[in-house]
Amino acid sequence: MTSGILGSLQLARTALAAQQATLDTIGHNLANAQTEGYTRQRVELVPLDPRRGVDVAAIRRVRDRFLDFSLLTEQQALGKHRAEDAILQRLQGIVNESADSGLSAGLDRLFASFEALSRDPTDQAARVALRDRGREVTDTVRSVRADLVQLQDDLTTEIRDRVDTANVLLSELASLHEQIIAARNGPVPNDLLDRRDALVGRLNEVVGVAATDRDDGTVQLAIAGTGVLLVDRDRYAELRASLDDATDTVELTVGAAALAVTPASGALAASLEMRNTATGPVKQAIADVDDLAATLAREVNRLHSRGSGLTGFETLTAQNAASASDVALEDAGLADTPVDGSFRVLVHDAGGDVVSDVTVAVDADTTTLDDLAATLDAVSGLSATVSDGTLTLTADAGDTFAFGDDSARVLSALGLNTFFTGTDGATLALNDVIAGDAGKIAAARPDDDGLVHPGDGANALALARLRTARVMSDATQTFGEARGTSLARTASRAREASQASDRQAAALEMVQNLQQQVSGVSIDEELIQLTTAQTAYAAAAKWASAIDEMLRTLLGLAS
Amino acid sequence: MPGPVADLEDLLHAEAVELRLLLGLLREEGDALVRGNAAGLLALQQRQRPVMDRLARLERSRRALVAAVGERLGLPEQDVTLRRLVALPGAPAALVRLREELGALVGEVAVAGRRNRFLAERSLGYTRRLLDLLLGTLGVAAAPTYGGTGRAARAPAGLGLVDREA
Repeated sequence: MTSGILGSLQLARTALAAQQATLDTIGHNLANAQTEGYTRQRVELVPLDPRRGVDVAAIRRVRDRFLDFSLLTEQQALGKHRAEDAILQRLQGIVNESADSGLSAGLDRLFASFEALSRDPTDQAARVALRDRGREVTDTVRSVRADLVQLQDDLTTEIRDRVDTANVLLSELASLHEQIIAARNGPVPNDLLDRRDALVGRLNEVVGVAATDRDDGTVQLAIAGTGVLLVDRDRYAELRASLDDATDTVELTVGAAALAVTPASGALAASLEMRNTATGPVKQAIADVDDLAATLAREVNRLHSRGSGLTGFETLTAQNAASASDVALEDAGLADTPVDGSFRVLVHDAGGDVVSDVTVAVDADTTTLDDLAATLDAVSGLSATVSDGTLTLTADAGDTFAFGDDSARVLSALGLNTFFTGTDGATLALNDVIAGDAGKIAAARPDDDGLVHPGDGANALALARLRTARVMSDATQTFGEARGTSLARTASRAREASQASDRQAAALEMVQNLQQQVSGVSIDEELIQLTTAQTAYAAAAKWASAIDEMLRTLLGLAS
Repeated sequence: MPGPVADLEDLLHAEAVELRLLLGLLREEGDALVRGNAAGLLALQQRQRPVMDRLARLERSRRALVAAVGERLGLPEQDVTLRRLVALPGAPAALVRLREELGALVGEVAVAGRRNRFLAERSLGYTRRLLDLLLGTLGVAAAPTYGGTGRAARAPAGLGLVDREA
């Protein structure tokens, strides 16, 4: 109860102070109407009992935490979709081809060159052109693969950068929490809470978080979907990314205990998924290139090695070494595993007449490289040696040797008379022998009498027909179809990622609009509030003036 | 190829016009969903209905015209599709171009439709969750919860609509 005139004056003072606080709050809102992340504030007035006027209970932010948590969900989903979209756009940039450049066009030109050579195997220009097309294909394969591996390395760097960003944000958030806790006994630190929410939002885009409000104004953060704590009051756990070379994956761990964690949302989740998943688009693209390179080398080499160039070999060293010369060929670690069968070796003299025409039998699970060398060494006009698992053949002086049918696949397995070397996209190359002498391109096949005719293009024609042979994807697709499938798969994933990112951005905007309606500053509404507060202030001032007049009257009476 | 081919070209052109109109309406619908404009959404649905009706009529006419063209060309019934017609040698350039244009428009309409469906589902999801929270507060569906000690406890009553305790 007011105690007389002085009590009434005190009552008027509380009214003036309360309306002043209201006006200041409205002013603060208007000043920050364009400030990003600002939440409008409202004064909570409570009556002072009994009949002692009014008090400012608190100045609170107008915030809908349901919308806040919904926003977190949409933000972290967008973070992931955007990162996926960006990575897939980069992947498409690497693998996409135009009609006249890229791997598909290169392969077409290679097989067209084989076909051209089959029409005139003695045409040196055609041989040089074919050699160049072979080099072009291997260069393109290695280049595309190197770019894909670089993308993978870039993803590793990107993951580390994102981890660093997250750690900076975690540290800032923990420091901010310290300030919020310190301000606990004073007025609600609204501006600190706005900064807190902004930091949580930024962190959430990097690694999706689940947030839990605490009574002290701090927010406990865990990695969404895992329960692994990141921030609790003024303490935080650092993220760490480390590359495991053995598994070729990047592992994310949390805190001093190095708890392994796989986030499900946020940009980090996308980077980790794209980097690590064997069936993910990046590793799949690398696997596709490797598969194409391995199949191309295998199929071309199997045909090429059984043919003959314009001249035979005086000496030839195998491109591929066996793991040991005394183990069965099928266990010797050769990329193209030999099978039971045979291969033909011919020795010609300087006049082109046949000196030896031998069919060497191979039992893949018993014949060793040493056995093979011994058999070949016994061929008249030929000597064979093995050194460190590598076979070398040498013709007698004045003689040359060539090869014929090879049902055992020994020649391609050992890398004798092959067109390509290498077993995957990183190692595919033109055989040095071909690179040094286009005349060694095996366009012809020895006839039944063991003679090689320079004008014979049968082997080149067989090689050209590989263009339409179903040798890829478990013998269901041609090279072109397999390449097309790989490109279409990447394009489809990229398109879906782009559309998902667009949809999610719209969903986020939807929630942000709702949030703005609740927490944003409406200048019109603030001006209405301002008028109300001004009127209330004027009324309180008038009353204070009336009480003051009464007091003067009273003092006048006393004197 | 006179007669039905010319009619087919006119019809495809009309279909393209309607699809462009529909695409515009779908984009407006997307904006209305993002802004939470319920009245706008209802109005857009009213505007979409006649466009969809016209597209359905045009589609029926198209099938009949394609069949007529196929019959004139002596094609087997199972081969009579627009895609196969435009792949025939000598197919009019305008027909080929219109088919490509329609294909692109249908693709864009599908993307816009998926986007709007996604936004509508999201919006309904928020409403459902908000109702769940409200009902929970009113004690209608007071599901058990676990406190810090791990024991089951009743969900706290009161006005803690969105606060979640650790």
